[in-house]
Amino acid sequence: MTDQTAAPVTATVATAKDYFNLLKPRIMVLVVFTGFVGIVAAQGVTGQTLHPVMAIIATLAIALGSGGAGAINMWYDADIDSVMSRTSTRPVPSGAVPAEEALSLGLILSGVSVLLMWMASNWLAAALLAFSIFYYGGIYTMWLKRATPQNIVIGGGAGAFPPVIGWAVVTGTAPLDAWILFAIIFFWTPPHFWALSLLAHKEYAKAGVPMLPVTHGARATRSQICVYTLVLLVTSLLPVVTGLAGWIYAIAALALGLGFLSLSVKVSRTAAGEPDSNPADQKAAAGLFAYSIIYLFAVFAALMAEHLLGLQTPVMELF
Amino acid sequence: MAKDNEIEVRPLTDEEAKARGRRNVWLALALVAFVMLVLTITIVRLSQGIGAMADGGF
Repeated sequence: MTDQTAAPVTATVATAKDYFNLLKPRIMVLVVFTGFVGIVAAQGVTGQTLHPVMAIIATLAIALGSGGAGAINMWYDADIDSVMSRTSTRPVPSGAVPAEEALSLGLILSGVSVLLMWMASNWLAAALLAFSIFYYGGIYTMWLKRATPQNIVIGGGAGAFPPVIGWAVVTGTAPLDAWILFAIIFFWTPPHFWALSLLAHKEYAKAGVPMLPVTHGARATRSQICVYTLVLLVTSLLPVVTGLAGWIYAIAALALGLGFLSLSVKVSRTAAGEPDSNPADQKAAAGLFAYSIIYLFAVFAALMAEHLLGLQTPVMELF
Repeated sequence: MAKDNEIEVRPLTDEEAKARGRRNVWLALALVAFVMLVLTITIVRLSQGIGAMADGGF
């Protein structure tokens, strides 16, 4: 028997906070929120109800699944994270948490989250959660991210699943309305991420990650941001057409979308991401990135408010 | 030097021992939370089943 205080030479002083940071808590907040809105909207549209305790546990399962996928991402990306200053302080590249522990945590959390989801709701919600974890940890992290400049476009699907999962939790189905919410996040992801990549393109180039500004240049990226923002604006109004959302959402989505488009056009007229860009150009890109986060929260909050407060009056009924 | 099939070990420093202790506490809390969640799901499922039977659904 070995001494109780003996440890492998890799023993660390990692704290709970280090492990918590492995779960990418900021992404988790967005994932949980959009998943919860899916639960609320499904109940509002279908009239089906979900036991509040089950809703909480299902939301927790979404959070754990997001965290598990984040930890797997941190484990796999430790090599490129250590090259980029923005990510070099993450728990694995900084040495706070051994890589194998990050993987173990990711796999365990993923398994527990799917199990909890299945127990608290139904097999479809659990299967969608399992697939979204695989999508992020496997398809995006291990394949797309290092393989194609379309990594963010296709990979954005991973973060778009939560409202579909939330809808499935309530109804056991994934109808068109749920996939419209998926599409909103899907088309939101590229302009959101590319705004950031305009600021960090040198870092991505150093790490060999084929982000759009690295492979196609900043100008093409700024144009693509405008195109996707326009598609997002149109997509965000689809819930009004199907009756998923009403007037409040329509006004909010239109105003917020026009704001997003305005900032995208503003960035497209700057030299953000270019070698000769000035601080004002970079500030415009940073502003777009910050606005994109507020945009998604606000659009989904408007939808949730309509359904929670019973204010959802389908626009089409008024004509 | 350790042989290939042996894990090289050394005594924990005080800081490492404290960190391991804290991690163990968190792990225990997580396990308890998981058990409580499963118990809660079971209770809610049972109550829903009983309610469905009372409504003539059985």
